[in-house]
Amino acid sequence: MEQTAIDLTGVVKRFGAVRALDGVTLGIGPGVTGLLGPNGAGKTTMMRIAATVLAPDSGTVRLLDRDPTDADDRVEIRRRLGYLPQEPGFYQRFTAFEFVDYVAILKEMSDRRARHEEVRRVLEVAGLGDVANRKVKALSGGMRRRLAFAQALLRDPGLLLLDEPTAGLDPEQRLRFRELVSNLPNRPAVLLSTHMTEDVTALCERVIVVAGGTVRFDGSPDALAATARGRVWVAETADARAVLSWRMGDGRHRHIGDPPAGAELTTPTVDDAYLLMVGGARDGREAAA
Amino acid sequence: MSWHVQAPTIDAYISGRIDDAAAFSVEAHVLACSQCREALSARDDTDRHERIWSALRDEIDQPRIGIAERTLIAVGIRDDIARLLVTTPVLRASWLGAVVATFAFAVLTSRVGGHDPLPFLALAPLIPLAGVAAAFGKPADPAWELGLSTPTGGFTLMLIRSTAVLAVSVVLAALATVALPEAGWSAAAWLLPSLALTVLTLVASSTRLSTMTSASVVGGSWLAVVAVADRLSDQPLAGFGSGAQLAFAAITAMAVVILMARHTSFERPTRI
Repeated sequence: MEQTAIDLTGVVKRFGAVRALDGVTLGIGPGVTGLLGPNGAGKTTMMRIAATVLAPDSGTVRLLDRDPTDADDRVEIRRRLGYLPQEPGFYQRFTAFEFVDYVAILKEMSDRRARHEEVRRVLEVAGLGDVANRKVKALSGGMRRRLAFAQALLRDPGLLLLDEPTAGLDPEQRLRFRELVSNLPNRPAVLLSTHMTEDVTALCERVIVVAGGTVRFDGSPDALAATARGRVWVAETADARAVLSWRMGDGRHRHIGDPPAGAELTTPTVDDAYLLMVGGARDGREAAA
Repeated sequence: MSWHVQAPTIDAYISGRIDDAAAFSVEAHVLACSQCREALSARDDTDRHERIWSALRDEIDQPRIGIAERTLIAVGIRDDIARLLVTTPVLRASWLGAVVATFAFAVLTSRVGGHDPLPFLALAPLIPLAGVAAAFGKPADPAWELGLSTPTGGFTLMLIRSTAVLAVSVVLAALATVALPEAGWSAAAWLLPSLALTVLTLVASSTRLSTMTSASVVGGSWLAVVAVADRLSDQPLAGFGSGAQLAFAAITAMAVVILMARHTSFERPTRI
């Protein structure tokens, strides 16, 4: 197993005037790494570069210890890659089985029997064994998300890229997803992009916060929560000076930022730290509302 | 239990070298005899079991396959290739309908327009172009991004789908030719231009142009060339004579060479 599955050095990617990635340098190894950031932060751009479907404008990329700009290396990388795109896109007339089988064929599984076994296995793992013969267009949103996840598991990839895998899943499915990802065999490198802090807390050994195309934080979820230490308060009333504040279920107010009058300090969560890091501005306020 | 399965019988049973009557007898016996059950399971060949199970599962758990795919398999196409082919839009009923309608229109125009095959010959090579434009690339293929991240979702998939488009177009054009007014050799003069334009479109789409743009540029240029040739020459069907056919053959050959040389560009991670 490679020590670094994704190795980015000074990676820049522009779309017109927008710098989606603005000089990103990081290395990602085995285990589950969460990529956390608001919409438009550059998460999907990073995922696409790691999936070999997008080339950076400048900087160097190494994937699974190989060079994706080299044609032979690129094929080798793609052989060991599992990719769940943010918008996977399906052939609606295919059944769930046919769709995964299609991807398995593209992943060079030409022996029908072995391929069908593998397709059945990943459908089963994703909890879709019972709907294998149902057409994609007749599947619910959550089922389609799981179908996209199932194909990413084909051939036990060494690098698994999951772009917002939990979007559209109900709480039970999300728990099941976490169980699956944490029990993957051979401990592959998993990069999981999300804007749900619960996923990160529950699942990731390491979390990278991106915003505005740059890396804002890189460390453990606990270390991320600790960045907000001394800045999260609970008070009886609201206070306009807070970076963020909201009324909690028990009627009291949670404040992030400077202390309001009569507030008591409380233990920060990953949520608090994340909001303090990327929010601070209006975006965060909307996200918390 | 008065008797037990003998070691040679167990061997024969495990390896499958036993007749049915003896096998049934062993199976009936081990249900009741724990000693023989243990003797049998101690010698069990897990690999063979797994193979049998796998074959059995494959047999009883066959996925349902669509009509188009079944037809392709029936005419001898490998099942994995058939699966890749059915994602080509031109093989769907709606597309086939549109192609047939276009050919019918072209034939009709040729018959009405003073028995001149020119409209048909000019239009027929555009059909595979439209098919290729709709078969490959970002706007046409919903799972295109996913495909590109796989080892064979680039050039291989493009070749398979383009071949399907060409084959369908050529067969339908050949059928349409039968309905054309008497035109002798010229009734088949669309074939080489069709090949040349299709391969040229693929070459163009190996640059930064999308398949859709490539097909539009090549198709537009083709119509312009045909119109100019018709205007400049007093010969009928000037753009389709034997000299022109040789040129189309040469263009096709050259374009194929360029395409093969540039094949990795269909797999490069810039096309999004």
